[in-house]
Amino acid sequence: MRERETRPGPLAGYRVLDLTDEMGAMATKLLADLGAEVIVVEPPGGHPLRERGPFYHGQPNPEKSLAWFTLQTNKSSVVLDIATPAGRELALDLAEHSDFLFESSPPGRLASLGLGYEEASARSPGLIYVSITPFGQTGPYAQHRATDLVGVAMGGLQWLCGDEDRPPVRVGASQAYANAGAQAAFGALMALWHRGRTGEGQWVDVSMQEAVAVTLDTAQQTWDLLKVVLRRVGGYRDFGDGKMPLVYQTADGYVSCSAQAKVGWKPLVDWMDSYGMAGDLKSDQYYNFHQRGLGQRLLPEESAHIQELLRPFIKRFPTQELYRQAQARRVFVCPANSSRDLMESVQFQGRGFFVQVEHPELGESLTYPGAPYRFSASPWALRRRAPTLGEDTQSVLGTLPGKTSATRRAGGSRGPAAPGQRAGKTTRRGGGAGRAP
Amino acid sequence: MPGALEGIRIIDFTWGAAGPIATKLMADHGAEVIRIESMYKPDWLRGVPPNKDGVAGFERSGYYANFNSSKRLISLDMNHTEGREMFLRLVRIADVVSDNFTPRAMKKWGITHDALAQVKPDIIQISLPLQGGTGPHAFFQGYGNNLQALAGINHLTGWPDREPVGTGVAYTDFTGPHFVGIAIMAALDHRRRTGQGQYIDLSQYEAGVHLLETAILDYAVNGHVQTRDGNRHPQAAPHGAYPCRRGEWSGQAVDERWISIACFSDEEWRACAQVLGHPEAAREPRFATLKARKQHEEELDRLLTGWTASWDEYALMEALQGAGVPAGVVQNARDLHRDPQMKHRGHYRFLEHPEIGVSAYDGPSWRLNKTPARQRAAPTWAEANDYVYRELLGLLDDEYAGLIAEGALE
Repeated sequence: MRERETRPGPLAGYRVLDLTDEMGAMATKLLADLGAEVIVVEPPGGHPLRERGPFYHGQPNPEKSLAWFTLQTNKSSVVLDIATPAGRELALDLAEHSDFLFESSPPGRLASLGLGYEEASARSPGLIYVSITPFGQTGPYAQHRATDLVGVAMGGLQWLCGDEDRPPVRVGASQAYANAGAQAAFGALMALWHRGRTGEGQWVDVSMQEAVAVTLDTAQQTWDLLKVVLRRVGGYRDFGDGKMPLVYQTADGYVSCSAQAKVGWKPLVDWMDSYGMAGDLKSDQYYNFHQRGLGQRLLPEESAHIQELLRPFIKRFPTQELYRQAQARRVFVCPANSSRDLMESVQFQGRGFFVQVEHPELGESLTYPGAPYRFSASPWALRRRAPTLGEDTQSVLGTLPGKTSATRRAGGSRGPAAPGQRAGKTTRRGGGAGRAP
Repeated sequence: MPGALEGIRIIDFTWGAAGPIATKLMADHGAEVIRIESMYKPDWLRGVPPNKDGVAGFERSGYYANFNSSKRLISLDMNHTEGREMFLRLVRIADVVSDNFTPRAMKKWGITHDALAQVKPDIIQISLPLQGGTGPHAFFQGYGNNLQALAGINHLTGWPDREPVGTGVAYTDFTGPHFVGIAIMAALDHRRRTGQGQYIDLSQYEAGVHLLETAILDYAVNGHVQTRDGNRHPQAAPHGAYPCRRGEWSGQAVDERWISIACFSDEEWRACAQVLGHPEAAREPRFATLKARKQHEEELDRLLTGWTASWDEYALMEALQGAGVPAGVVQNARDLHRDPQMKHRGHYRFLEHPEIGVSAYDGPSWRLNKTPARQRAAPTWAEANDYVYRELLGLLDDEYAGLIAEGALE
């Protein structure tokens, strides 16, 4: 384990009011892990993510959800019933002293409670109000309900996943939520840049369906330009006029291999040849196929012929040995890792990827995925485990300034400076010149 | 109206998809993204279909075009001494330099953060090699197709009795860009507030692991290795894709139709059974509770498969949604282009390119109400050479002519 990181993250000093459910937890995690103070508002019964399994040691318990642990790192928890007038007032107060508000309610619901974009931005024009919903704020499907499964279905990813002779499948971890979350965070930070220049906040309206629709590789353009619909082809990739093999069985598992990649193609054939398994792949037709020119791929029957030779070759090797030997020859091979393989990854160990986070209530530290990006000056860090229900209610509400908005505006403070709040950060809440027109 | 990212200039060395999509989204929102390519090593995406009219060509790939909207493009040969000199002059007027080459290539050209910071002390540099800039596998290579397997996506995708098929797309190439964008934007704001630039090492492999939800913790804490299980979800049933009536459209073998249905609560399940015309099924003990449905899930799926098969997929979606059941058609690219919601949102932007003509570009999944994205078609080869070398760098006529004559701009 590395030394505890003390340098503040790049978003230190910003405050995020988090009213999201499952759909938005990833977005605010990304900001929290970069140093933003994220306050999750939980209803008195607890956030829905607390009910999501699996659970610590298989014990269903709202304080032991691994989904909650994973997605709520570095956040605080405030219990507040925003459906009551008092709760709504407090939420508006919190919003007024926040830089971002994230929410994922059905369009119109927060507005009906007096917490919509119009109301919140009228009180604080610099607020960046981020709405993450299945289909966006308006339009014919705006009120449709969607879970992750419906998101990957309507966004087009599920159509492309799975074996041809069985129904299309989802990825066994929520990808519509993950994509909507990451893209919401990207969009929100774009709005932050604009606010930094002008003081003006705005509404970031995210559609989960669109967040999935941008992950479809060439499917969209292939329809648009050629009127061909790409489809699921198991462990291959569809090109419409042919399919490229990717998944191969090894002696003890599976790998993904892009055998035809230019840099590794000849070394691969030479390697097979050294085992006497290259067949006619050393012939000009195959060995030099990359000289055919831009965009000229192998013919389907050529590709099938290569596979006949390559599949038995790959099957000779245990996965890790194949991986090492292939990569030493610049052949594009990667193992199909399970979570256990990931935890045992030499590369992750070499980079110290996984990090330990203390859970005092459990009397132990748990292993978490580490930094998705390594900043040399203002690092990503897991500073704190996910909060217990209402853990920070007192401390957060206690730092709210006086009761009238006049006091708040005059004071403009929200208690002690956040760690890492720095000189020069003068644009909070859009104060000063260039407010919304 | 200025875009959200007015005032940001990015020198973009990324190629393929993972890097270019991040900078595309920034360019669409008003950042000036100057993309560098060399005739000796053009972006390999230019050779990947679909191409206009199905004919390959340097400027004809719709794949390349989609990921390079709104950018400027210059030609520059980094293997040429003058080329590297021009690059450093560009760094002096840039905010961000991005690349996704292996650490090997960047070292060869001397593009280290130290070297860049010497000419521009507050420069932000982001590199996104496959597995990060350090570690025993720093030089390992692969496409997004392979990386999704490495990052654990394949293992979680497919059927328990079959191979780990993965997503059918180079998945991490399309999820990674958003991590790249977050990192760049956070570093830019940090610099705005502190004056400090920095280096960001983004391992696409490490970013990919953040897509696995609870898989890591479940193994670390419970010793449980999560694995692919079709469409099943431990806390929902029915939860899957069910067949609908085959479509009337049959240009090719895409006449199959599916709807995905997700029932987490008994209430949703009861409404679902009602819509499908079998309210009695919801009262049967074997299906009455989630626990019972999970125990009899194969049977449940078999029944649903029969019940949905005569429905029109969109009619069924509307009926289920009307009853409060989360359900959606398993849409393909053709469906998405006709989807009234995608149209309402204007997701696809139809832009005109000199060689490709009018084609569809993906917009962002988010809308900024004050500073919306505005896109231009992808640039043609070296279209920005004049602007960048003469206007931005202020080269005199003979200097510019000299560069061309020496081959530094090949």
